[in-house]
Amino acid sequence: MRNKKSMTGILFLSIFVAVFVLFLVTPTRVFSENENRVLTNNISFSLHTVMSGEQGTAVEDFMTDQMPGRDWFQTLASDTRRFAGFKEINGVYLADDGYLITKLTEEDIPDGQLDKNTSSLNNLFASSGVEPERIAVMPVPGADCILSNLLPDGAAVFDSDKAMMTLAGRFADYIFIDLRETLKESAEKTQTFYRTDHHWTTAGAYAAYEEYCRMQAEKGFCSYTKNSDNYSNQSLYSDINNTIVDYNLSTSNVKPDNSSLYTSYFPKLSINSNTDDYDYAYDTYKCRQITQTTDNDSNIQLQTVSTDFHGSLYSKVLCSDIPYDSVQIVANRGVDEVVVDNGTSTSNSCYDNSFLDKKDKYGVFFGGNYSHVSIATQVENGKRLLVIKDSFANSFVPFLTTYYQEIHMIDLRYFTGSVKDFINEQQITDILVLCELSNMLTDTNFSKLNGGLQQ
Amino acid sequence: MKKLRNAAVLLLCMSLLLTACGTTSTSGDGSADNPEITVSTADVTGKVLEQTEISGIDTTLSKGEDLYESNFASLYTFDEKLITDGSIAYDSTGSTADEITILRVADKKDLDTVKAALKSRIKQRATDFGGYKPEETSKVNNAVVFSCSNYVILAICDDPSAARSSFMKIMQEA
Repeated sequence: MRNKKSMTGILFLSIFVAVFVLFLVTPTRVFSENENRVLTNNISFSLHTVMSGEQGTAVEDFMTDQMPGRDWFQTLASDTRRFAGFKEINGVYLADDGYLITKLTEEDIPDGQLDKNTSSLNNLFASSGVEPERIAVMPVPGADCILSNLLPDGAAVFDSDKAMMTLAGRFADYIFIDLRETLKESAEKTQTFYRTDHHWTTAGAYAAYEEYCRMQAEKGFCSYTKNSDNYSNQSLYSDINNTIVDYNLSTSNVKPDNSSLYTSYFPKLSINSNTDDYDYAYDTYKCRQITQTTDNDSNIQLQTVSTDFHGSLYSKVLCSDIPYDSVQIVANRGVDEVVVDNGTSTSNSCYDNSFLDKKDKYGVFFGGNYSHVSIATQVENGKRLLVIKDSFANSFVPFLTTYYQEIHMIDLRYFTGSVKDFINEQQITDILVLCELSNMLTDTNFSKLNGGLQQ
Repeated sequence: MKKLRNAAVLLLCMSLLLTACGTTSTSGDGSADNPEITVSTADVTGKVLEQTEISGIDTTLSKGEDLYESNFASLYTFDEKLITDGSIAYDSTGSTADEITILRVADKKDLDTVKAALKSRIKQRATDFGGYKPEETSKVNNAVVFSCSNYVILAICDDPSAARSSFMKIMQEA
């Protein structure tokens, strides 16, 4: 009996000694690829932390982060929870079809933040000097809204429909783009959100781009002769292919119906190269056929650049058998014909392929988020677009590089200047607000629009 | 070796009894029982930045300057009248989370309100950088808010302990 007790004691002691030895001999880890975060790799020491008791927390953090076999234990814990029937891990729903979906409930939405944010934006719009029909607001509903049918039974989510309708009312004087139906239709046909990341896929961004173009067309996207009746014998600039085209008023006084306008005016994902498409100059009063071209250059081509992407939601869940996502870029947009300046470097592409070798492969779009990114294109039409954005815009903006002379992206999380001054200095002609819907309800950085961190 | 050093630090922590800024308050931050000090937050911020290596910070705004008020309103949700002096030092390029904010509170009973606002600021910055810039997220997670006398300080930088030590030293000399 006594020997048994001794053996048990020796066994436990051996385990502790083994763990301690492993702790000493294993190299200190600085970064966790899985979690995409810097690990506690040093015990900081200060008089205050000793006195306040925070030193204990620091030691605990260090031990937790440097625990030998940390990744294996984390995966084991997540798998155990999943097999035990948990439908949520670390604020992420384990949805059907292998989707991981961020949990955001009404309790996560700060009271009054929506009012503050819409007020800040409306104040900016009113004082910007940009025409209202050239200002667009496009909140991106998250996967919890678009893929709500895949959520676990009884999953709590915030009321995105109500939020979207409220925003639509607040921005009624401008182009408000409600993407709910567009993205739901897209999701029926193709993967619109990543399974392991909170962002939309490039196909999702493309669906939004089509809707953006459609709404812009309704407001006179290329109407350089808007409200003018004197069309005859003029050359008219077309946004399509950046070409000057001639039209003949006497033979082209046909207003196409909306479907043919949208089908022909904007490039489609799949295009029949043997079919001639029609380009139209369009304004809110007149819509005239001006020429007939084949729009091969505008044909959108999506190219898969990675098939092993585990995104931000995977980093929270860390289950063992979650399949990889693929990342696509637009092969024939935003490459070579642009100069992209993010404040620290310049390049000739909207894509930073170095991120394909990193954990956060969504960073391939513009190399991640910067306070200000400017994109100079080869278009010469005097149109300068300001995109007030979050990371969802990064995969969307490359689609626009054939429509604007300059595109400026401002991320309010990092931007410290005055947006109003920026609009004046850069002679901005168009504004697009493109943020995830939940960010428009929760982000306090919109208050910077009222003044901004200024230098 | 690094881990052995960490173990040594741990032992040292346990064996020392040290004092911070005067006597300890109920909140453990050394704020309540100190005599009131009056020193310019701009001067203190300048000295902290001199003594602490914070590569990202390139701009400092202080109360009385034209742009201070609008920036203050953009960052914090409390009434500016609670503050008699203040300085905000930050990275104007926005590429780093580095930030040193020093505020002098008019009435010590408002210290907790101001500290709560600065802690909210840390929370917001954690959201801003979370998932996108791990190095900056690490800085934000290690950020400190503390008070001494009627001053409240926010330090987001690589070594907030150094910023704290520097600030305490300056205040003791004041």
